This record gives sequence, structure tokens and C-alpha cells, in this order.
Amino acid sequence: MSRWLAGPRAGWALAMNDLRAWLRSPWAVAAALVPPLGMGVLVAVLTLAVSKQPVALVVEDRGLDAERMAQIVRGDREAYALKDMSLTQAEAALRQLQVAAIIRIPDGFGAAAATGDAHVDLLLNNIDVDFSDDLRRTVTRSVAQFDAPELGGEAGVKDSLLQAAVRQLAHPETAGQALTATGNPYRVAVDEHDLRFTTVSFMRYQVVPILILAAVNIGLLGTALLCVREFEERTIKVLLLAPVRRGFLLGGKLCAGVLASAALLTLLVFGGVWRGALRPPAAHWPALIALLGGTAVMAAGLGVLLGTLVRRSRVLTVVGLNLATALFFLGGGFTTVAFLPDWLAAIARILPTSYAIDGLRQTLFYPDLRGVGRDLLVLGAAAIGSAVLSALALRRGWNGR
Amino acid sequence: MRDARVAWASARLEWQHLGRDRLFLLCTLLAVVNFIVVVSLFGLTGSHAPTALIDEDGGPYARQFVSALEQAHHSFRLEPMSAAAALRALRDGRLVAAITIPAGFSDGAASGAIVPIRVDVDNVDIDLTDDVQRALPSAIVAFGTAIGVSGVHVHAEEHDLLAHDTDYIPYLVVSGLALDALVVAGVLGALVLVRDFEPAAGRVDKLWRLAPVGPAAVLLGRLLAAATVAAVAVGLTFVVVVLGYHVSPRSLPQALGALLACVLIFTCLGGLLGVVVRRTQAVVPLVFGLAMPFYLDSGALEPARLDGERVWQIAHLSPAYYAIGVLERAFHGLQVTPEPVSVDLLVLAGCAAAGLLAAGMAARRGQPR
Amino acid sequence: MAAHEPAVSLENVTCQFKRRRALNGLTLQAERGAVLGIVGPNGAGKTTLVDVLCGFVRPNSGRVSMLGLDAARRPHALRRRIGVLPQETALYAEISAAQNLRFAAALYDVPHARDRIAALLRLVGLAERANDVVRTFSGGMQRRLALARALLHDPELLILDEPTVGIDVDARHAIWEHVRGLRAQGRTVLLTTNYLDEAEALCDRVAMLHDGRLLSDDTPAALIARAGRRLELSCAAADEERLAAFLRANPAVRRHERTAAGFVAYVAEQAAAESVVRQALAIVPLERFQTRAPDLAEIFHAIAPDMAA
Repeated sequence: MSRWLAGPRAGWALAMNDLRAWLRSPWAVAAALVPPLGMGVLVAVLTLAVSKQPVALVVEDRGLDAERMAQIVRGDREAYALKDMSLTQAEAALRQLQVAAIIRIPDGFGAAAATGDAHVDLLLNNIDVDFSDDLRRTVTRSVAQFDAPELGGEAGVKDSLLQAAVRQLAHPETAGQALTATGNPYRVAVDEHDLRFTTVSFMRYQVVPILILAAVNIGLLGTALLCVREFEERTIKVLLLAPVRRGFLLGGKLCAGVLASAALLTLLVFGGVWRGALRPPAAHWPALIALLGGTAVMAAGLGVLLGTLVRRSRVLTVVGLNLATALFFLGGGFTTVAFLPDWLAAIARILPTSYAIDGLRQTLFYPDLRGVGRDLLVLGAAAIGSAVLSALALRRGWNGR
Repeated sequence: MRDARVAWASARLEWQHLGRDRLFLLCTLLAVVNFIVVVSLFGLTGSHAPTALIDEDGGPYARQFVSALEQAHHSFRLEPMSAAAALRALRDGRLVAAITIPAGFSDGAASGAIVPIRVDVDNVDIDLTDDVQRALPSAIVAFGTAIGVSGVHVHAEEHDLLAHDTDYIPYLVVSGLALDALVVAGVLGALVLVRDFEPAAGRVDKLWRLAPVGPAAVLLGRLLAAATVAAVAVGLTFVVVVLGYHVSPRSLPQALGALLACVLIFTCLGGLLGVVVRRTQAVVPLVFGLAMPFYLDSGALEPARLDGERVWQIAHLSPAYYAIGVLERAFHGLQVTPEPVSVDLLVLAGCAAAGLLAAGMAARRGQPR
Repeated sequence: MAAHEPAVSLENVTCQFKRRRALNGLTLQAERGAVLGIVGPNGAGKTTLVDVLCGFVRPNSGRVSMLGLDAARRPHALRRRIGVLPQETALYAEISAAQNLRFAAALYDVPHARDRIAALLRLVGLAERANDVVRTFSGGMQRRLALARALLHDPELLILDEPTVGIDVDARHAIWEHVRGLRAQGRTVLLTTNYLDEAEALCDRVAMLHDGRLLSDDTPAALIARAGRRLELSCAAADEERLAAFLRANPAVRRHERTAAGFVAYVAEQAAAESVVRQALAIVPLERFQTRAPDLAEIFHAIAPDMAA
């Protein structure tokens, strides 16, 4: 019995040995923690960047219509980071990139609105088309809400009706004008049906790439570098001389990578739950744990394969960077595979990270677990395939030099 | 003079090292192109959301509405399909939304009635959901204008600061060049110095510690060699950007100068990290990990100040911020930092000098670990 | 293993790396319970021989057997019975001495590992430093620790690849003591070395390699005798021709050569050297003379003058 356990025991000892060596290097630990933390900062930054644009609102007309228009703009708090300014201040802010655009409700707006000829000026710093389009869509919607409040969604309708009621109470003589706030001259209304009950915030949505980056960085690059170290510092001699089957040694290496990734992922998951960024349905937790485990095993498996194939840290560095970048970005870590051109999406579908990301998103954001079984299968197959190829790579021999 | 000779000899030695490692060089070149490609992928996610179009009407007003959707500020990539297929694709996460133009749409619109269109949204990602929710009114307004509706009191009138928009991918690939320089030059700068401290390489650092010259000359030579390789790699990306993405710089000398400055600076900063960390195992994930937030918090996706004052203040800590400022100016003539380009260039030069100085000081310190 | 069977046997082993033939039809045996030294200049094939024995390199042709087992067919069974001290020690630098040994104990499934590790650390004089990180050890301490690791699973055959290279005299003598102790226990030891005094102090037989071939296989004493005793003589410049003629004519002198400091002559033994000095003093006033044992290069020169040239 003891003999049968000798191999697994040796593999486990190798895993512990690797973890000890890893933990004794503060920089290696920092290298594990910095990328996901940096990515967290990045996601926070991006949350600011993608959802709101800093805009100056210049209201030059003092009439009720101008006020109502301004209220519509101010009411869209999710779209604008709004600052009320004079035109001079706004122009200076635009030049200094403090604001991306100026929304100007010009003098005479109310009179022009009565004749159907009012306009809201959008002075746009159209540096790139992405945020320019965001602003164009948003401002067009705000302006359309003046005549068709329901185009602003439910909130738009409520705000508009509330304002109309308030205005009528305060200024009974303007009751006729309130008609412009209801109805929809554009003849098309939107009947929106959301797939899920709550909209996932951008921050929560981007937790998945953070988890994947951690797995790729430590599971793949870290494990590969631990393998390469055995070759460069010649400690591979000790391993190859031992009366242990190479499968157990590779298993030990794999185990070290999986344990390091799992520890880091557990830390991140706890952090995510604590900060409210991770809130999967209760029944999805087992699937989530299985997926995180599968991702860690897949990444460590690829790391062992890369390390045993490349055997030199310098080359591994650049090969690893290429692979990590492709796995992370092309796998869907920071992009949405469905948005990619078909040929690129087909390549993405070959990458195991795309299945990890798909599975995690399904588990975290969708009501059912459709496709998660397939994702787990692919991750497992990638890990086993990597381990088999690593064993073959180790058979290639080693001349000790 | 003697120091210059030592630096040159050191650079030559490193070139010989690198020259013998063709696989390493090949992978380095591949890495830079890889970065540009993946960075540009992000540009595909900001617009043209994959959206199912279920046209149950097919009449002239429906066609008019579809045309308005297609022109709604690059918002939708419409894919005509059946309702069942659309729902399936939506549930599989292959679509952001499905727009159904109901039967009788054209008749209703022609008679002046308000016709609701059904929009099913996969509201998993607020960014994409927002885009759809904001783009639809744009399309509706365009449709109303096209068919000449009455009763509209207010119109939006746009005045652009610049003569034309810069497409997102061209904007991203230029900032991607800064990421390329950051990662490749940073990693190479770190690797050429970290190797000397590794036990497996026999602690070669002792050799130049013992030599009757300061470590600065040796470091300078090493970093020069690393910077050369990084410059070739970034140069290759430049060619890919010009020929592959058809993005040509407005000012070639300024663009090349900025790229060269980026390479030199990031090589020096990588070198600094190399002599401080002294382990390949730690330094590579660190450079890679630091590069991502540095890059993305530097105005890579849009001017940093538009992300808020605090983010903008933090961005000043990242050399990539100044690099992107210079590069976007050189390629597209865009001012993405409030600071003038000359200030950006000055800061970049200061970063390089500080990196080199700090690396020299770190190299002098104590015995290698 | 039968008692008469050698512990290590190589028959006509050839190893080719691209154009270079590292081992060229090498045939060699190490007797049970003996210490076999492998010597030779750099590039002679010593390290390749160790790599072949360890199973790191597969020979292109020939047969290798150790402890009665075919190395190509039974590598797994062999690994349990051999211990290796690699030239570069191959220790994990970031963990402690005890942790290194505990890891090796797990690899070799060593019973009662804790006691065995403590005993070996005492044996190599590292018990006090058991919990210190290996990175902080001197070269000699690292080598002693690597020796302890090689002994951990109580191997029948020990392969030591240049065990004392780059370490101080005390550490060197400590390792010699350990090797002598192993020989006393009846273990077979195969060691490669560049030091003749080490071969003389430790080895029962010494195999000399050159260009992957076996040049000689003999006892250290016989090997030294083949080169002869080295006698260095110097005299005034005016007397040099007469001294040269004397050395040429003296039958006790096997060969001689002129050096910057005077003459070097090789004679069979110490007594002969003394006799030659006495005779020389009768002919010319010598300014200086001394004798010493030859070094490896000199033995190599004596055995294969053509190859050495």
C-alpha cells in the first residue's frame, strides 16, 4: 500500500516544495497580486469611462421650456457627469479636456420651442468616435424626450409627468404648454423587454476578466516559470533521478500551480463577495467553484506544458506573454467574442479561456446553467491534454547541459 | 570616454547574446504585433452591437426605420433573423438585443399613430444596454425627421470641435503602440539586467561590480542593446499600423521621435525593475501586470481627464499617459492631454533619466541576493 | 547481483551530439565496493559518462549496466539504488537545508525520514544550520548538503561528479572523510575529478579518459609511477649545457625538458631522484632542486604525449 502511495506522496512533496519556494519570494507573490489588483483599478477607471461623460450644461434661457429641457438633461444621471457653467467657463473647460462636450440651451429657446424651431447646441470635442457617438446618442435622446418623454424610458416618463404636474401647480397659465411634454410626435415608441431582472453593473461584469487574468498570470506564467527554473537551476536532475514516475512529478507541478491559482482566486472571490461585485444565485455556487477550479487546472496545465517545452526563462517570457495575451484578450477577457468578426470569433472558440469566461458569465449573470457542463468538459480536456503533452515533452530527454 | 567604450562593449555583448537567440527575437516580434491586434479588438466592442432584426412588417416605413437604425451613430450590427432564432441567440449571449418591427408598422406610422417596436435586450452588461437604450431614440428621431413628422419642437444641433471624427480602432492602435513599447521595452530592459543576478547565470553581476568602472556604463550598454531590439520590434508594429490598419502619422518625425522616446524610457524603467526585483520569475508577471493598469489609465481609450479629475491626477504617475499624449498628437493631430506636447516630451525624458539613475543606484547596493 | 559482477559496466558505449562524439566506444568497469575515479582533461567525456549513468543521456550504441541491471531497460528500479551528487549541487536555494532533504526523502520514499535526515545533517556537519535557507550557505556547505541528499536513501552505488570543485581545503577534506567512510561500508563510489591528490587519496582505481575513449585504467600509484617523479633543477646559465648533457645521458631520467626556471626531469621514484641530484651536484653547482609527485596534466603527458601535444 505504501509503495502505491509513494508516487502521489512524491508529487505532493514537489507541489509543497514549489509553493514554499514561491512564498519565500516576496516579489513573486507581488507579481501574483499586482495584476489582478491593477486590473481592479482599471475596471474602476473604465466604469467611469464607459458609462458617464463629463459634460458642461450652459442654460442661457430663463424660460420654463428651457428649464424643462435642462431638467431632462440633468435627470439623465447615468449618462452625464454634468457641470452647470457659463459659456466662457464651459469653453475653457472644453479646451482643458475637463469636459467632453457643451450642451447649450441658447437664449430664446422657449420662444423658438413655441414655434417648433428650438434647438439645443451640442459642442463636441470629437476626439474619438467611440465617446463622441455615446454623447450624440445621449444628447439626441435627451432632446427627443422634450417632445416624447417616453423615449427616456420609464424614468423619463415619470420625470416628465411629475415636472408637468409641478409646473401646472406653480404656473397655472402654462397648462397649455404642458401638452408638449406628453405624446410622441416621432410615431415610434420602444417596448423594452429585459432578459433578466437586474442589469449587471459594468463593475460586476468585469469581475470575470479579473479572475481570468489572475488564473492566466499565476496559473500559466507562474507555473511555467517554476518549471523552467528546474531546468535552469539544474534541480531537474534531482527530479529525474528520483524513482518516481514522471506523471507524478508533472502532477506535482500541476498541483503547485493549481493551489497557487486557487488560493489567489479564493482571495479574489471572497473580496468580490465582500464588496458585492460577486453575487451569483445561491444554487450556482457549486458550478462557480467547479469552473474556477477547472480554470485553475487548465491554466496550470498549459503552464506545465509551456515550461517543459521551452525550458529557458528568457524565451518563456515572450512566448508566455504572447500566449497569455491571446488567452486573455482573444478569449474574451476584455472583449466580447460575439462582437468579433466571424473568423476571429472562430479562433477565440479554440481557446480554453473563452469557455472559462463563458461559463463564469453564465454562472454569475444568467438564471440557468446552460452550457456550463460543456465549458467544464473543455477546461478538463485542455488540462488533461496539456498534462499528456507535457509528459511527452519531458520524454524528449535532457542532456544535463 | 572610457565609460563610453565600456558601454559600447557591454551593448555589443548583449547584441551578440540576443543575436544567438533567434527564437527569443522571433517571439518578441510576434508579441508586439499580437498586442496591437488584441488592443484593436477592444475597438470592436464599443460599437456595432450585434442585434437581431425581426421585420414582421416589411413595408416602406419599416425599411425607413431599419435605415435609421443602421445610421444611428455606429450603434447596431443588424442581423435579420426569425424571432425564435433571435431569442435563442440572445439567450446564448451571441446578441445584445433583438428589435422586432411589428406587422402593421408602416400602416400605423403612415396614419400618425404611435407604433411600439419590441426590443428584447440582454441586459447583462450595463455599457451595452446603455448603448442600445440611447441609440434607439436616436434612430427614432432620425426616422421621424426622415418621414417629416410634425409636432417636434426641439432639435439637437451638433458643432464638432474637430473637422472629422477619428475612428476608434485608429485611435486605439496608436495608443496600442505605447502599450507595445511599455511591455516589450519594459520586459527586455528588465531581462537584460535581471539575468546577471540569477544564480543559474552564475551571478555575472559580480564581474561588472569588480570592474574599475561604475555600473552605470555597463547598465547603459545593456539597456541600449535592449532598447535597440525593442525599437526594431516597435518599428515593426509601426509598419503594421501604417500598412495593416492604414493609419499614417500626420508628422512622421514626431511619431518616430515619440516612439523612440517611449522605447528608451520604458527600457530604462524595465531595467530599474530588473535590478530591484532580480528574479525573472517575478519581474515578467510584474511588468505585464503593471502595464495593463498603467496603459488603460493613461488615456488609451479616451483622454484621461474625461474619466474624472482623480483618475486624471493618478494618470500623471504613468509614463504611458505622456507617451499617448505625444503619439496621438503625432498620428492624428489630437490633443488628448491638457499639457502641451513639449511638456509631455520633457516628462518622458525626465522619466528615462530618473529610471537610469535609480537603476544605477539599485545596482550599486550591497551584495546580490 | 552476483558477487563477481561489477557494480558498473559499460561496453563499447558511444554518444554522439551532432558532429561531436562525446563517448567513443568506451568500455569500463567499476568493481563492487571500490572507489573508481574518472579523470581526464576538459571535454574528455567525464560529464557525458555521468549523464549516461544517470540516464539523462541515452547512448547511441553500446550497453550500460549498473548493479546487475540494464540501465536502458530498468531505469526506474536503478534510480532507487543509486545516489548522485551533481556537479552543480542542484539544491533548491530558497528553502532550508532540512526542507531540501525532506523533499528528497519524499521523492525516494525514505522510511523514518526525520531520523535519517537528522543523522545525515549531523554526519555532514550541518545540523546547526538545518533550518537556514540554502541561499545563505557557502559553496562547501552546499556541496556537503548535496552529499547528504545523495546518501539519504542509502544507495548501493554513489556517483559523485567533481565533488570538491570550488570548495575550500577543510570542506574538501570533510568530503574525503565521508567518501572514505562509504568505502569502509562497502559502497561502490564512482567519482569524477580533476585533482590527482583526490584520486590518490580516495580511489582504488583511476580511469583516464580522452576524447571519449579510455586511455588507461589503473591504480593511482601505478598511474603516478607511469609518469614518474618530477625533479626540478636549476643552475647558472653558464652551466646549463653541461647539466642538459648530464640529464640526456643519465639512464635514470625517463625524459627531461628545459623550462624558464631551469630543467624538469622525470624519474621512476624518489630514490632515483635523490641519486640524480647527487650525481648532478658532482658535475655542476645546482642553485635549486626539488622533487614532487606529478599532476594530472603531467601524467596525461606521460601516457599520451601525442594526444597531449
